[in-house]
Amino acid sequence: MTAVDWQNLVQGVPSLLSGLLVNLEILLGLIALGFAVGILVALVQVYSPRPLAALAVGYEWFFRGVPEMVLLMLIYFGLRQFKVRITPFTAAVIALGLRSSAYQSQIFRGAIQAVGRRQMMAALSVGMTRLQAIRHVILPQALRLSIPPWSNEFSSVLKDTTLASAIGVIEVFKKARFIMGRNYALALPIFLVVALFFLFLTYAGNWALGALERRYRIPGFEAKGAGERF
Amino acid sequence: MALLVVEDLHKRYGKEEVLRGVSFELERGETKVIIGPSGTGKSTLLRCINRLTEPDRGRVWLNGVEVTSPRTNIYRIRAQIGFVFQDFNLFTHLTALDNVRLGLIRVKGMGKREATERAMRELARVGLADKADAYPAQLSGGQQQRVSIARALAMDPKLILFDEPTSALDPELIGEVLQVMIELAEAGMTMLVVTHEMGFARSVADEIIFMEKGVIVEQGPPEVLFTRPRVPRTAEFLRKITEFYGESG
Amino acid sequence: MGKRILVLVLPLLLLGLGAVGAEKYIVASDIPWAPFEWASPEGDYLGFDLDVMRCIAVLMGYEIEIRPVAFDSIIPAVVLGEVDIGASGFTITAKREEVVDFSNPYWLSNQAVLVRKDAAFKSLDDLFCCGHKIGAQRGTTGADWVQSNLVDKGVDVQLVLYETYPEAVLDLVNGRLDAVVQDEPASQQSISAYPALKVLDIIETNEYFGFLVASGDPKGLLRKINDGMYQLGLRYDLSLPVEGQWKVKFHIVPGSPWDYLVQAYFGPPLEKVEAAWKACIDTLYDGTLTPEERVYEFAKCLAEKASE
Repeated sequence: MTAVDWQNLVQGVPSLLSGLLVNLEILLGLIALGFAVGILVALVQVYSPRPLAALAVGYEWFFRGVPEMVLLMLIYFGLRQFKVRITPFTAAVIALGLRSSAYQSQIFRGAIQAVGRRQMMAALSVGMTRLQAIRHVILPQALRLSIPPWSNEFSSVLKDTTLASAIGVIEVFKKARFIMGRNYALALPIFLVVALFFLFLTYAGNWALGALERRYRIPGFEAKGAGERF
Repeated sequence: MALLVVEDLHKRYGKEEVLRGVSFELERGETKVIIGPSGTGKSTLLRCINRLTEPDRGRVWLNGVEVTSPRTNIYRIRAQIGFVFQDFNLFTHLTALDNVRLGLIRVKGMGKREATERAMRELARVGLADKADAYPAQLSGGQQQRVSIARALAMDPKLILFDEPTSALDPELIGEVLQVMIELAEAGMTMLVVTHEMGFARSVADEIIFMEKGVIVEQGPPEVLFTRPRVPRTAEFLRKITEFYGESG
Repeated sequence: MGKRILVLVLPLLLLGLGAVGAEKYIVASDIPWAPFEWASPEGDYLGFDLDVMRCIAVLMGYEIEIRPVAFDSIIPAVVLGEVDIGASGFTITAKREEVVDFSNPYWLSNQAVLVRKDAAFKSLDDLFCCGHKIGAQRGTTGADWVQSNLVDKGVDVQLVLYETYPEAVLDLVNGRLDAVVQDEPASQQSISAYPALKVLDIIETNEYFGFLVASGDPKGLLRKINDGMYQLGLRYDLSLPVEGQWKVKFHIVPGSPWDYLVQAYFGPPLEKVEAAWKACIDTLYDGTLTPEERVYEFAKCLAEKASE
């Protein structure tokens, strides 16, 4: 690499970081959406009457079965077709969020099943409604059990955010391509920098989740199948 | 009218008819013990009483209110019926204190301070005030079962159902649980107990119900059932069970 | 009472909207494709196409937002109404004219065949045979040319398509391709960036670039673009199509903004253009000048600073 290449590389870092910020925004949005919908789908699968549960299973099947890239196109161009004005960013959050909700629902469903029917029965026996039981007994346990498998999902969706570039979101991957297109010699170094960004974020995210797990650890609870992915 | 009236309960799981018309009554302050071989529907019967399992047919009244009526607020009924499970079923993520407190706060709408006082009183009653901050996994089986009794007691139940409360315990831990139950019976609590502890049945029960294959074969005061049962099956069962479990408690 | 207020307020509101909200159009461009469009290391979007768009917007009194879109998605995006203008070195072709409308042509380009200097090819005949691998960007006329003039006619070559041009060039440099077919100006840029490359030959395809909008021009943009190009200093001698081929002779008014933009973008290395652009761009939005002055001063500044 020449001095000019090095200079270009350094010049490019702020631009890359601003792109990375977009990835993080997508990540936040999609995780939140995936979490909310994922829990809902898992609860429906476990607790609701059969036709509704079947619908939830179908939902999961669809969003796990369709490739992310195809989902992105379906949501972005599909909604456009129906005259719904949607920005590439929003489309990315929705598409990746719904996809993640399918995977997250699987994690939560496994965790809810691991908590077991007896906990539900005990809660009902003191007079709680099913919703109260879910809120105060089932979910607090299921969410704790979900943290280890959930960190896999976190790492996976973090990386998926770069797919948003395909529908025109200017995030870190796209910015790296801009820089590469401007100076071909930077093809390898610029993507190394991007790779480092993601390695760092994955590390930081998993560290934070580990801290969260320790923070909410309950004596004797982890023995009950924590860490298994259902 | 008796506190609890059970009339002609039926329950079927697939092909198997687990309850085939069970009827009995339980007076206020009375303790009845249900005995019988495994798989004869004793646990199902208890769960049908507070509708943790929905019976297929038959009716249940608690204190004159029909539990089995679709118009009844079943949550209110369940809050009045304590339930002690074979494997304790304490809320795994909560301390002993929170286990006892949760129903008070969420179901009875009690304030936190009042609920804490009440829960501590019940824990003291079962001898576990010093374990209030322990999680279930940090307690022995006997201690867990006592917490679960405290959890039931805290709700001020009209009646407590015990579903084989000592079956999952190591033999040396059975005594402490039975002791709590004996004290409850003496204090006038109405209890319906499914158990294999014949010693407890004999000394505490006002009446014993012998169930087999989904029906009540025979019921009567312990001294009658243990010494001169009417039905040969009862005698045979009692002989076998005493050989098996002894007469501990 | 309520009604009266509404009657009073509504016209004011409309007036206000008219004053504040200058029309804003979205310009889609496939970045990077220097010197027509690329992103500086700091992330500014510049290039000949984009500055022409900016200058026309200033002259015509509307605003633009530049949105990077993959080349093969630009026309679908224009058709769906998601973006308003495609400005990305689009060759005017009959096939494209079926779905979009083009402005007047603004550039004449031929296809350059790029090879490595150390390659043994003496002529195109040496290259177009023997299973050689030829790269091109998907959806470009270069790719079309290779497909229809070589692959479809049974010439023994392999066409390798890329999403962006630089990826193809990179593969050529690394020896995974034998040649890349691309428009001339972009190819010249690659040679200045990669001295190991050379132009083997030029294929005269006589391609005219145009800006494109949705079919039927629902927003009335073509007239503004054409007028704008004229005002910037682009003139034509338009002759009738010969054998179905356009024959346009451009002539550029010397010392016009268009003249300066061409000088700025076609010749100087990218670093110099970027530095010049950063130094000059504020002129284009200097409220103390008339739109004509702004455009002129900006283009002149760019050309002078870039060739310093």
